[in-house]
Amino acid sequence: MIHVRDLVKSYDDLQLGKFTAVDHISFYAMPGEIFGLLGPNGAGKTTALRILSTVLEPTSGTVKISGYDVTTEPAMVRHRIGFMSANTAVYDRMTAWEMVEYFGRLYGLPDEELHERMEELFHRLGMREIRDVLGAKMSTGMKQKVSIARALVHDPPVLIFDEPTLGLDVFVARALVQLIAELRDQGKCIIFSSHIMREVEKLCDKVAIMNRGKILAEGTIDELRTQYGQPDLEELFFHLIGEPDGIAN
Amino acid sequence: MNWDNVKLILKRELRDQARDRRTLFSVIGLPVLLYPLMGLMVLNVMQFRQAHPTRLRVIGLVELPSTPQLFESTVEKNEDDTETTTYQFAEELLKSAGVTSRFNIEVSEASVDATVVEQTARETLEAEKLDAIIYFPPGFRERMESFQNARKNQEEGAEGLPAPQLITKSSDERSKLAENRLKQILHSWRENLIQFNLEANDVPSQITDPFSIGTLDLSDKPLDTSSYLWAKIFPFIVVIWALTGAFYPAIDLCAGEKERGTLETLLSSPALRSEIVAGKLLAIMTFSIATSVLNLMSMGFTATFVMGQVGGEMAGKLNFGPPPIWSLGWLFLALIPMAALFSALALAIATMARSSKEGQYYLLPLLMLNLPLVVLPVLPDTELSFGTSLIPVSGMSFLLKTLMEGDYARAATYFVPVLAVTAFCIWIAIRWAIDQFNNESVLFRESERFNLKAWLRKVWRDRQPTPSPAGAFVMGIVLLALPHALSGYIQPELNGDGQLEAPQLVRYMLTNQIGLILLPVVVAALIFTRSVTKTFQLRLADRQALLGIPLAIALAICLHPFALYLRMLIQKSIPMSQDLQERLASMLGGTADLPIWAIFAMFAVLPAICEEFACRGFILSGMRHLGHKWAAISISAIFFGMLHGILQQSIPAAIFGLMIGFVAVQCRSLFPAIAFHMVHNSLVFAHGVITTETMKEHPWLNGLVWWVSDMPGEAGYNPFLVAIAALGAVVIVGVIARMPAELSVEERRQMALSHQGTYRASAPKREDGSPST
Repeated sequence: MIHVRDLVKSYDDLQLGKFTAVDHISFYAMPGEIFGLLGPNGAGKTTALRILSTVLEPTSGTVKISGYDVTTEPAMVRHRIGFMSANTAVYDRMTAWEMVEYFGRLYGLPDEELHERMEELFHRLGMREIRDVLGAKMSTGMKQKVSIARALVHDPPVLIFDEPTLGLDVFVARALVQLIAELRDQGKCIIFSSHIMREVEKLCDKVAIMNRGKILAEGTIDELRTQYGQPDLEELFFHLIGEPDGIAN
Repeated sequence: MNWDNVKLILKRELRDQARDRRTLFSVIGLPVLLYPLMGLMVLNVMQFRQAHPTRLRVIGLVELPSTPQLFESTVEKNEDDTETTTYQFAEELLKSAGVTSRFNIEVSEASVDATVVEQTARETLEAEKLDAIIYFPPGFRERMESFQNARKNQEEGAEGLPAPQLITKSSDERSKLAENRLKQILHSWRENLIQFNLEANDVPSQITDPFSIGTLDLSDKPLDTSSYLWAKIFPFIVVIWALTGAFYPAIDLCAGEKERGTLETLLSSPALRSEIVAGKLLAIMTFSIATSVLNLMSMGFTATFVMGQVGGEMAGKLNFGPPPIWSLGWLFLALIPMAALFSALALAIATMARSSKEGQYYLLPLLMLNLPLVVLPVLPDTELSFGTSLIPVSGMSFLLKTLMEGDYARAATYFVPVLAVTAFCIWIAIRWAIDQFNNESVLFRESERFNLKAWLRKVWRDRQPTPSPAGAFVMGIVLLALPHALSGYIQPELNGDGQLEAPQLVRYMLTNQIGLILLPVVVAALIFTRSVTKTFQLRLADRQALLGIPLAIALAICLHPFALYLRMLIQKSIPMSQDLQERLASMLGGTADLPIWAIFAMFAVLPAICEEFACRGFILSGMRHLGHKWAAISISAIFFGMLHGILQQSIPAAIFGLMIGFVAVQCRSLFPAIAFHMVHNSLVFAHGVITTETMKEHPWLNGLVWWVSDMPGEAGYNPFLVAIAALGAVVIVGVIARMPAELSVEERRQMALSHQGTYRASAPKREDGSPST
């Protein structure tokens, strides 16, 4: 479903020179599986997921989603993914219903099917009350719900969630985690990035721990536990990454 | 492109803008309110202006002849039985002088000596806040009255005559105005005086007005002054309102979307970048057109109802009525391409901006850059011609002006070039906008602290084997600017006959070609690129390059007759000015003293090497990073054309530049391009020396040349050979086109992208049924 091979993304920075945000990472994820990217802020998770969702182009390496290459066939890839991140905001001057409808139409869904699907999503995500609320008037949780509905409206086989629980209260976050688990059970291939251990531990079938653009360890959570002889994921994480610079001094 | 998506995006953007109160106000509220308010203000200010009567003192009223009347006096009885006399200019006099303002006149009857007035005038004017003084010197009345019996005193000389004086201070605005008005009044009075004197002497008054000039206007339709005025001010209105009307929505639609974080949402949706650009462009255009139309309507309304009320001198001169209906139609038609052009420009610039704030900074420079193009059609003595029709923005204004003036024949002649140029500009702007949308460093760039040293270090550190497109563009501008910047130093000296002598000509050509073209590009390549050989495509030991040289030479020969036809065609349609022809002739006069090999070296070999290094070397290699082979070739060809300076040479040069660029790209080497250029130039010069005389000396030319005259450059080739040449050119171009060009990384990407099938199948299959909670 998702195949990432030797992915590199580097930027030109005026002050720093060449800066490699993603440094030769490779992984794959299958349908019915949640793949977790775990790493501190600035580890390169967002950059990697932006490349997967065709918003950025890789410097080198290949990414294939459902067999389509993100650099040469971005249009095909976009039809098969639902992408949601902290940076995919909702429009201020559109209501929840209009926003989801707009993207549904961009995906080419015929009206009847689209509306059927939207009713279902709005019901399932508990968004009926905010149906006619403008984006500008929504709370963070409401906006997140709209984003999820937007990412799911075309029922994509691959879902990419970049820190979806960021800034949400525990109730909404919990509901979201449940939803993601449900989606997995429906056979979606899901990539999920976070820096919150508990979520990853609870959700992910496979985990990759990232720091400074590199994948340090990869496997199922149990595999990692036995491999490093560390039963606690949080301890394992610190063991791999080392003491974060900055706070230590 | 899926037009459903474009429509969808357009509808969303329009609704989005309609929900934004600020945009609505600036598009609809402002124009509707602005002009009536401005009109009202003008009205009020005018009232202020009229409330100030001119303060005037008349000195020496006794010296004024009684007839004809200059002043009317009214006597008022005061309460204490004294009488005050107030004076005003005679009513009829004011009417015939066309002066409407009021005067506050003080009068001193006594006759005063001229020297006294001269000494005290300045102080009086300043101390008593007067605007003007009229002084009648002693003896004036006597003299005037003597004319009524002129035949008696004919022998009197004209010197030392007492004449009235108008004393004002022109540095003072009001005094200056008073002077103009009083001059008109005194002039009318003088006319009256002359008439009166003539009558007194029994001379028929007609002799001062022996005839009046009859006029006959042969135009079908009298020039509608009001539509003429609109045609003049239209460019301003359109540029300012179409541009600002496009700019603010553009900023909100692009930079604003970046700021609010919704751009990434949109980019991860299946809408293609070109669809996003098209949708946004149409939305911006709608606003641009709406703003302009509303402004025009509001201006027309204000002109009719408010300006009419102002009355007086102003309105009569301006004739600022509403535009005639039929000219409004033309106005609206011309508005669409102009709005499209400005919208595309605004879109590209707004995409470049990181934030709305940054975007707003770009508006003023854009307006300023357009200003010269807008001012040109308003200048007197400029009209629609082939030359002016090729200037972007100006051409459209010229076309509109011509249409509004009713000169349909001329408008129809230049309709095509104007539209072609405008369409080309729109296409470039749209391409630019799409490229901006494909450029992630533009879409995701964050504000960085700018530091010149760090930037220079980065430029040095990130040097590529070949120059960057921006570097190539800057180089092109530098090459165009250098001759102008240094013209004072390199302009050759002419000898006494205004001719350029051979040594000066050689020196000029060498400095121009080597110093101003070859040297800058070689130095820039050494500094800003990692590989000089790659930058200039100096590839010789290569099958394609080696094969390319003879092919290029053959192609240049085959195209030679057509190059001549092209030159002739352009010479006919845009004739060179007399002045320019003379200057060129004087420049080339020096060639007569040079041996033939030197002429070829200087006009064929030298430019071929220098100009090719610059245009097909530096500029073309840089532009190929754009990702579109033909865009790179076209841009380098345009620079090549502009490098020739004279329009009549630039156009054929740009067209042949396309061919040379094609040869260079396909053969992957600069040498075939140099060969083509060299042969092409040589043949043009060789053709120039064929006259009846040379034909006699070289009889073998008879097979080649069919007609010839004594004038050089008029020989015509054998049409049979020309047909063969055409065939040969097609074959050679076909062979060259089949050569595999070496594509840049960017070009390969664009190829791959354009080959991707767009996925427009029906909705994805539902395998999982409807999920329910």
